[in-house]
Amino acid sequence: MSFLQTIPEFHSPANGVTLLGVTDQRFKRGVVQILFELPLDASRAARSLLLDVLEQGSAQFPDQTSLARESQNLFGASCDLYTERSCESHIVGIQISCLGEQFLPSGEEVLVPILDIATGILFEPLRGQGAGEFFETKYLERERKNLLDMLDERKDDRGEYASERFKRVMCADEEYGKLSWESSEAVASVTARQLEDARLEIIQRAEVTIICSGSANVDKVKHWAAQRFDMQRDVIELAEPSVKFPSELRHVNEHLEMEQAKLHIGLRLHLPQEIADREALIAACSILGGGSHGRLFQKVREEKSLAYGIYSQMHGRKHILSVSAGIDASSAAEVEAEVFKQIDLLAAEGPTAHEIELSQANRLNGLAALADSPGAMASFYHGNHVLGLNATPAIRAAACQRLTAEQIQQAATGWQSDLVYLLSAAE
Amino acid sequence: MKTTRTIKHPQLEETVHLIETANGIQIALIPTPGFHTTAAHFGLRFGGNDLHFVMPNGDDHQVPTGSAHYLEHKLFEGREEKVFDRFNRLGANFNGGTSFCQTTYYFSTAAHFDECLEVLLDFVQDPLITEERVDKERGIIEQEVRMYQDNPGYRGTFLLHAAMYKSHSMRVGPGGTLDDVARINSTDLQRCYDGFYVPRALRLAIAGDFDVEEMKQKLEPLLRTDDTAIAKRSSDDATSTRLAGYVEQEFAVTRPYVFIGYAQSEVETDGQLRLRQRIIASLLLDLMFGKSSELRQELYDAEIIDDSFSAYWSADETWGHVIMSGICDKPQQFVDDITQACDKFIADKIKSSDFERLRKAAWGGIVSGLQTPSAVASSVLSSMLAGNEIFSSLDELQAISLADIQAAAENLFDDSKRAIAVLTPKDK
Repeated sequence: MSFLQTIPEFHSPANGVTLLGVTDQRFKRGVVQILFELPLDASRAARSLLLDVLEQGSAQFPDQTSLARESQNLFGASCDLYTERSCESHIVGIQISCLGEQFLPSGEEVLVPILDIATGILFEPLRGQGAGEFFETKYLERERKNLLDMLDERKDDRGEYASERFKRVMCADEEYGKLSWESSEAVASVTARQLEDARLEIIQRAEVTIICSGSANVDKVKHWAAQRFDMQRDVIELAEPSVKFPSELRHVNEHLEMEQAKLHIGLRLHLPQEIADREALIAACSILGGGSHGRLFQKVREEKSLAYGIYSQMHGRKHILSVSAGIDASSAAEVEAEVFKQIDLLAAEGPTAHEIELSQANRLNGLAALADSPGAMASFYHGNHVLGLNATPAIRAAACQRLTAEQIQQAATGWQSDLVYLLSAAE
Repeated sequence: MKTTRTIKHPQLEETVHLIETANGIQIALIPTPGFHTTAAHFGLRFGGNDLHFVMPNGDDHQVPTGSAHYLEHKLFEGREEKVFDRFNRLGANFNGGTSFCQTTYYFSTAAHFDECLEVLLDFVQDPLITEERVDKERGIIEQEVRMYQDNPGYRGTFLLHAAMYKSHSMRVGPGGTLDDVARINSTDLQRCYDGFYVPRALRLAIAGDFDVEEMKQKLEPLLRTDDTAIAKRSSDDATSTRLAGYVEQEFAVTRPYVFIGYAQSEVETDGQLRLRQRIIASLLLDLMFGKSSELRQELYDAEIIDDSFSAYWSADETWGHVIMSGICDKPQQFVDDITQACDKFIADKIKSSDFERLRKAAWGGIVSGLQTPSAVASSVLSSMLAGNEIFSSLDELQAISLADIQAAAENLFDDSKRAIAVLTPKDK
């Protein structure tokens, strides 16, 4: 098994702009993600609505139809705009995807044109017809209605809604518990002026990370970014995620009409900075419920047939580990007891040699397979960058291979149970 | 085991070596030099639709809905050791899937490929199905079915299927009904296995950085050598049936979910012709409702549709349909406006420039879709199971004319085969 040993190229094509290149010409498609990172502040409702309004057209391509046609002419290149909460920041993301140069007919160019189209939506927006009108009023009101409808419809996706509510309840007084769009009321009251202010803030004050993956040409993107961001930028400094520990375990049961109940259990922990400790924590999480090799899958699904799937996950930079499962509401207490029993056993007795073997096999295969997945590669290196870790997959693999049972046991010690959240049908 | 053909596709930069064993197992080997992972996808044409079949000895069997999916779960139990445990020891990514017409099992790995291949071919070709083992899995499958039951898209789609198809197995999802899952037994599953999991039905696609001759040698001792006929499926022809024009069901949704379906009366039974039909229908729906369509922009501007709107074509040998769906406030008006828009689009001529632009975009999508060994193996197995020439999508796309699209537009939306399903909010 071989692991990537390369440290990705980091560039700074403009003030406050970091460009990360993890490309490889084996791939047929190039992907460029442009991430504008800002605090989860009062402007986030405006940013969420802004993206929907901007997608209606740009100064150059004044409606969705002409925008889409231009992309199609670039051999089906695509661009997506989105906002999301990422840990305790607000991200405005633009992702473009296009065919690799080696597969294009001679003389065709798609990468820079699709970057121009995608960012033109944000930088040179479609203005309103009236004098001084920032945005077309009818578009703004239509998109506001559509966004408000979509926010209402969140409950229709029981799994996503349960996950959102779990974070809201567990982190009620932390940035991590905030909704990406703030609230429906906030979206309803956003003005055109606030939208324009939000647009300018994204361009001028967000920390920008550009990630090139697949077969995207890094030099072309670097050159393009230097021109696109050639301006005075006053970047807002972002705070580190907060760390909080609970005083006691809480149980919250909310109700929604549904066939299958959703159970989420949240724990607080310390996120270590050393690579060896980080790998030990990853192994502990994996042994608990990182897949079909995990204890919870084996006990709750395979032995007791109580769930189709039950998994544990860490929440990026946030000091949280959670377990989630779709279950019959009547078995919630039994599943909860099993989860806590396995967490306690892992901390008290450590993992077995067999469990270490399985978690290592899973982790090492994942690290080796990174090389074949542009998305996973981009996510790995970007995650490392965000966490301040300067480690290649090879370094992470070596650290994983050196892990002992004691290190993993240590990593599983001190997790503090915070919340058991159940979304289920009313009795 | 003999090599029957080698297909080279210069535009895709892919080569596939087709091999067949003496007893009919068809294998596709696709070298992908420079990649670190190797993927193997193993499958057969047997899925949720196959509820009634006649064995080679003449025995006629009817099995409950969800049987193919249940069987897929049971194969993962393994004969002596759970398949999960075997793959997990090797660190591979693995899974299986059951659709209306196919069941597939697959893995992708960066190490221990030989051992993983042995596991895959062993558990699919040599299972142990007992009543005790079948019972043990029931709770897990019930939870999986319940999970889908909460999804409005899934519920609405099958409410629509139930209206579109009078007596066809398309009325129920591949997972089956909860009642049927409760009564499936080992005899049902053994019959399914004996009838369909026979060498001449099995197809295997492997993609990765390997030597073709060495791979053939690895495969030889791992494949079954018996030779039995495949059971004859008695799927009812769904193309000319319709139960109801309009059905409505209360469901826990915020706003009404509307599904408009047109059953297709002329679905190609030949896999290659059906691929062509699929490409034409997909291009047509993209011309009508894709983001570059003026019709879509008009509907969007008039606030008849929003971003929840979608339209797709799907078909197999005995069924086919177009489904358009969206979330709206006034279902009847939504249906009227969409159907009128369809009529208007068909009456108007499609512009050649629109067609050529979409063809160009589709070309890019097909090429860039074959990105990793796993994507390549999956695509190749799909072609083998659907009965179309591997990597022929680009050639079909280039051969299609505007007249083909125009002709399809006139046949796709037959009002006599239209059904509408609406999920209405419970509290309104």
